[in-house]
Amino acid sequence: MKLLKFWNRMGIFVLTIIVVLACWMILGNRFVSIFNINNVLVQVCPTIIAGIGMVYVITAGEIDMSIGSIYTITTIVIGIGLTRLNVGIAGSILLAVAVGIICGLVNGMLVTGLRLPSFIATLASMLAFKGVSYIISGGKDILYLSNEKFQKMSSMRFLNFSLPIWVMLLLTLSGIFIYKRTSFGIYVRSVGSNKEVTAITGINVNLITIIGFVMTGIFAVFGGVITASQTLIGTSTAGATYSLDCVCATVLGGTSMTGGKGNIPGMICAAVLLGFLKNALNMLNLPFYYQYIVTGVILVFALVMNNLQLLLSQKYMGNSLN
Amino acid sequence: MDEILELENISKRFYGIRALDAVSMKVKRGTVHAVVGENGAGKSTLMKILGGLYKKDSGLIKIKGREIKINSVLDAERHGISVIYQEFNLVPYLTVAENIFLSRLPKKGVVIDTVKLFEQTRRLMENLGINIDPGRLVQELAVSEMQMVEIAKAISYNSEIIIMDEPTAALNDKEVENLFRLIRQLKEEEKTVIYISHRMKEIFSITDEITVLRDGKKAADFDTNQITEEKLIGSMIGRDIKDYYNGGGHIRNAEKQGEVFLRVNSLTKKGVYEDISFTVHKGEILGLGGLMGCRREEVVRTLFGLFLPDSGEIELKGKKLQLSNPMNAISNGIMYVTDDRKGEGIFAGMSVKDNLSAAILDKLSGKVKGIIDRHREENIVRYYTDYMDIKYSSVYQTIVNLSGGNQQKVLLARALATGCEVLILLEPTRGIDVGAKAEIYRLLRELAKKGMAIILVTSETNELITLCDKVIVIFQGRISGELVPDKGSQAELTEENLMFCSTGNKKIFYSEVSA
Repeated sequence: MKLLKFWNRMGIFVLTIIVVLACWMILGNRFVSIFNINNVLVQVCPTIIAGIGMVYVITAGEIDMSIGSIYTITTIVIGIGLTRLNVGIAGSILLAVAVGIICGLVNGMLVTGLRLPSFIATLASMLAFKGVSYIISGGKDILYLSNEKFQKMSSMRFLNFSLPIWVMLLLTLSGIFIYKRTSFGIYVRSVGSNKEVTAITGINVNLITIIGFVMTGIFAVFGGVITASQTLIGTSTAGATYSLDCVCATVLGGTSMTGGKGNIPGMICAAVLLGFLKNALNMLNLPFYYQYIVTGVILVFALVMNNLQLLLSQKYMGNSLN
Repeated sequence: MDEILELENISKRFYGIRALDAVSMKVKRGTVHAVVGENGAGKSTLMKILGGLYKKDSGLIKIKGREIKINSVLDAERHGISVIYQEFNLVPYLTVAENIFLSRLPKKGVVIDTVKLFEQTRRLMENLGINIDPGRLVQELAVSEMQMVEIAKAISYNSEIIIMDEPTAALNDKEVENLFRLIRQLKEEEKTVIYISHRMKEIFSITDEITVLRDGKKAADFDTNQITEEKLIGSMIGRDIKDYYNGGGHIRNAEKQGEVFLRVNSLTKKGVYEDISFTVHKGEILGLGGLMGCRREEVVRTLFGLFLPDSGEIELKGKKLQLSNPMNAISNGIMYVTDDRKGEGIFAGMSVKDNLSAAILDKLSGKVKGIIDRHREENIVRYYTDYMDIKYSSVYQTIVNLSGGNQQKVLLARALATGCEVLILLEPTRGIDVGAKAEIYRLLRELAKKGMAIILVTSETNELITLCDKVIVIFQGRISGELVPDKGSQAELTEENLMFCSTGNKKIFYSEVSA
């Protein structure tokens, strides 16, 4: 039982270490070279950054399926800011953040004002935002390869790791800090845990929910900025699987889908694990579709392990249901 | 003594239905004031108005003679009113300390001051004599501990008026005593407590004054020490009810005992219960007594296949049963009515009809197997709702809109509709009003007379004494007594003997005494 409890808390970390070690054994030193590790981490940066927001909304008892589209819009808005409006890098990012805030507000209003289930509401806004991205891009990809400064930023390195990784680290730490140490963090948890109680305590549940969606929008924008700085292209086809990747990492990382219990470090670990797996399969020259199968299997495995405690304890206690 | 709270002509309607009709009452400072009445009498509505959850349609609320407006929970808090609601209002994934101070988390800048938060909580708990670690997650607490946290939370607001809506529903005797000590302490501090309860004993032992509500109107005001229990109940239901508890003496069915129906033989589940043996006769009401956590729930859950034992036998009419799930039990004629009406009883969003017929759908097929014969279904539903006098507007009415008593009757009807011969009932009268209680008592007697074997698990000592033909008491997973209502017998079913057995202070067995 103690082992299972430990697994519940730390399982994803153990799993990550095991998988990384196994890959190392199979692939040798080229897998654990600084170059490769940096590469993998940079690749998972957008997922992790948007994943922080996802942990917040899921902890608040909601879900945001629209972050893929917000991410898409971001790459395009950055492109427009750099090439058409010429507002510079900082201006473009600010513009994108503003768009992210508006998207989050829309989601939050749909869920709290119109009382739509967040899954449906954000599925609808996902489609709408995607449509908006086509409108503002005119249906064409926006290239900003010429902006060298932007490209340089993403490849800048400190202590052997690229700038996006440091940005991700900073955002992660602030995400954890807000979650653990501020009253907003506690309110998010209590809203997800029990909405009525939180309301009775005199806390504005709708406000907390809206802020949660806005945060998710902002984090999705940051994820999009990182990608934009790497690909230097704004395209409406980006971010197709982005929302699902984030949900996958969040759940695998131990955040409860029923709300109230979030786990940011776990989410990061899960995203890193999936990143390394993808990388290892690439190195083994396996076609990309194996990644999907492996990811699915890992997801099931991790969730079964999490449920094992419940299953066993019920059997131990003599309960015949469930 | 001055009046701290005055209500004048408070009225409230819900969708055209009158919940409160010009209710006035006065509460004196430093007293414990009971508000009683049947379910649906308007007590909870009135308290929710005071707590800021509902808005009154008309009327005045005065505190210390000054009129105030309560439009939100925060308003109520500001005016020194805090409410402990019937349902727990705690967030399971947060700690005890975070729960208590959720709306007033101490901060250093933007960061929560955890040290101060825990310190505050510890001081509060110490003052109240509650021994719960502030850092524990509420999720891990026992129900009674959660109740204590609720109380601590209400008191932490430093309110002048504390409203408690059935605070003892989940507490055992010792915890009730602890709560009463707390209430007395509050009284000494000149705080005022409004106390809502169905339990006569508590009302008479702790309150100073009583306001009775009936059908949304005030029926009467009493001084607690100037009224009898009988009169109070009469005032609550608006008529004299003589046979609230059977009226004249208990007649034991022992002489006309039928065949042994159910025999349980040394049932054991390691670490839960051990060596549980008893028999239930046809037409007998067997009571299971014991304190909360004595494992009697696990024993009866075993009889319904909800809980699996390690060893032991269950025999029904001489036939050995293997009960590995509820389906098994039901097909053998055993039915179970839960004490957790909301959690495992009703299908909240479904109609009275669907709730009632849920356990017999497979028998309701018409010509084509699997397609429900609605005509037959409705007939059966009507039959039971008439038989039990269940009050509803239509069989399609959603069950949550019924009163607790009527919901309970629907659950009973669901069980009876299966044609069961053994009926297991857990706390069948919990949280329902006196009128419905009396009807359920009458019904149980009638069923027993017709030959039903009934196993009754209840924490109301009165019910064990007045309803049961035999009571098995369980203490820490073992049988500690077998009591019967034989006058003069050493194993007489009395409150005293029940208390001795359920606290493990004595073991009394009827069979040994008679042998």
